[in-house]
Amino acid sequence: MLRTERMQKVRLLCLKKDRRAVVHELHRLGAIDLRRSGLQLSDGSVGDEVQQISDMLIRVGGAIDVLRAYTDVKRRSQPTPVKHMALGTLLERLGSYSQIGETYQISAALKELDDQAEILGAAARVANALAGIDIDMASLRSDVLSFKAFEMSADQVERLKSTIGERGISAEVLASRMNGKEFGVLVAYDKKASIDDVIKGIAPRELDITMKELHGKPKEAAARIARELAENAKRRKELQARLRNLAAENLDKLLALREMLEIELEKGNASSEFKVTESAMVIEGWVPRKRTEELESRLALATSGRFEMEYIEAGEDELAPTLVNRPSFLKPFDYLMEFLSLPRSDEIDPTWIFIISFPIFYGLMISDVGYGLASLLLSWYITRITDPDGLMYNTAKIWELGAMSAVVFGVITNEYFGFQVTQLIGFQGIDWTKSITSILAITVLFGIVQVGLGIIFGIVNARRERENKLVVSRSASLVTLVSGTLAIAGGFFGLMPAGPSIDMAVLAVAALLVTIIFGGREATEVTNLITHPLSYSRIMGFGMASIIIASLIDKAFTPNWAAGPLLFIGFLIIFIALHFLNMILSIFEGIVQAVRLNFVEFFTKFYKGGGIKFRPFGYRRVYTVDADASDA
Amino acid sequence: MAIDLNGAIAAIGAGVAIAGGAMGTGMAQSGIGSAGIGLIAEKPNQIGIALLFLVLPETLVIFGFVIAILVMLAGGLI
Repeated sequence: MLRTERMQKVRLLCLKKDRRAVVHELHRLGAIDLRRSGLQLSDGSVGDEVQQISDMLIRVGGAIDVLRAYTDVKRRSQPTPVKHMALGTLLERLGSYSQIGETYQISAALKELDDQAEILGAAARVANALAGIDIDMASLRSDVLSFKAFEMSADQVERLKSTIGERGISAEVLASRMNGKEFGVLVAYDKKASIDDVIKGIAPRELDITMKELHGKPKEAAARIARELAENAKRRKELQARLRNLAAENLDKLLALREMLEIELEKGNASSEFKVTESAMVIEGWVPRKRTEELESRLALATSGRFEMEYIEAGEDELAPTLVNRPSFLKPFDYLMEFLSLPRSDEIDPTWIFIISFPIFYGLMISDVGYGLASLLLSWYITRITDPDGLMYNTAKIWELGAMSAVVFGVITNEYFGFQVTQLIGFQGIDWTKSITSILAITVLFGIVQVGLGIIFGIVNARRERENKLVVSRSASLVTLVSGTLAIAGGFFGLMPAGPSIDMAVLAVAALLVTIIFGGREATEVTNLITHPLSYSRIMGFGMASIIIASLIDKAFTPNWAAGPLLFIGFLIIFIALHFLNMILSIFEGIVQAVRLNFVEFFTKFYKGGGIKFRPFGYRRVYTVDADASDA
Repeated sequence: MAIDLNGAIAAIGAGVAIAGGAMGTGMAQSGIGSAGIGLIAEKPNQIGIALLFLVLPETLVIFGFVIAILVMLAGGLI
């Protein structure tokens, strides 16, 4: 329970000619985390096949990206059962998959139509703006006159005309009313003259009249361009419909084929981890100890016994990878541990303590049925909308457990959104505000137990590492903690007779001295023997703050219908808003503080972390299932 | 509720204990918070670590809170 999986490093010797069979079996088994051997041999080469697979993956991936845009991306059909296919066959099949080529062709045609539609749109804007002007647009490309076209307001047209007149520029201004108050304006002026300064002062939107799509009279051009745009839109719709069909018929198949390719790519890349001779190859890696026999028997079948497997010692500074096996509903805790720091394979794995203590601490800090249920609802909603591999999802899953605990503690303390419903349920409950001393003592006791447990784990780790001085120092710390607790409990709370209390105090001081003498640098941590257990009183602090704020909201803002409907609605809004605010604050603090108590007060007593996650050579299939495995 | 002199002094003491702890926490968190935001801006996946460091100084206000409760108990206020 407190140990990660025991790992064994193995070395496999096999014939080069069995490479495909061995790699395929290792990949299917998913039980070995490959490591490059330190033996003085040549490195295995990746080979041309990896390049071929990569090229095909790019081609298939591109088609999938195009088709995904034309289907519901959330839709995922059942995984396709697939049998192992030789790489050559797989590449050949994909090479002749005509719909991939068709997808690319349609995609390119669509891009072309999009570009054309953009140009036609711009041309239509110019033609429409100038529709009221009777001029052949071919004449705008003249050797004698210059032309510029603009969109501007009536006021700007007047300013343009008057400025041109005032400056004596030889120019003609033709205006055409567009929709509303805007005008399309064409200015014809002598090639030697310049109207740039005039335009600068007015700042209208200039239109590009040099586009080749603009010919004939503007009105006729506008009608022609509109027809071309309609044709363009029709063609685009047809192509998009074809892509939707292609996506519906081929996307699942392509996703499955891409997954098969990715598996082949992994297998191909694995060769670079191997060491080779002329006819043999060496594969090394870490295997969970309980799966070594399975590995051996499967390889024996795959190679007809032509292989050798030996157990080898890890290198001096080499750390075995960490593998934890917990029920799937507890995986989010592993995710969080991994996010902060994974336990090393040679140390105690404290995740179970975290799993048990987190809901208790969180539940105590919230202690309200209403807030607990709201937390449950919110966390459930977050798990519905977030990525299952992301931090938010996993935190929400952990939060769900905490929320359930908050409901339980809420029932015990008889708190329902700050209300007490004694008459309704016939149960008084434990009133936080009247039991401060008891709850303070209980929370500090939690601290003493967890910190004590941390010190015990520290002793176990120190023993494993043969750090004898640390074993003595940490044992003395434990004695200090226990005897100090008994002395304080006796002296302060009168729970023990005076004599034994004094004895315990003396023992605590003596043990403290031993801790300091043997602890080396760790001796500086002795103050934590007091501060860390006391730190657990935050559970009471945050819990009480949440409950008192909730009851204050109830006292001040509970809506009363007798005060009138307007006041009732106003108070109801304030009531809900304040409870929501209090709930969010409580939830945030509850999660952060419950995590912190574990990671700071508990883990620092023994935990090193920095483990390397066990990453087996294998593949997590999404779109396919191994039909060969189910046959077997 | 009538409070005697001892109670009044205890109430002031409790207030000072909480206020001192809260100010200490605030001062520490201001520095850690800004550094944490800098860290998240550079490496968004480090938000968990940043959050954990941010809450570390809250121990100060918790101690203030515990002292306040003990003082109020001694002063007969609760």
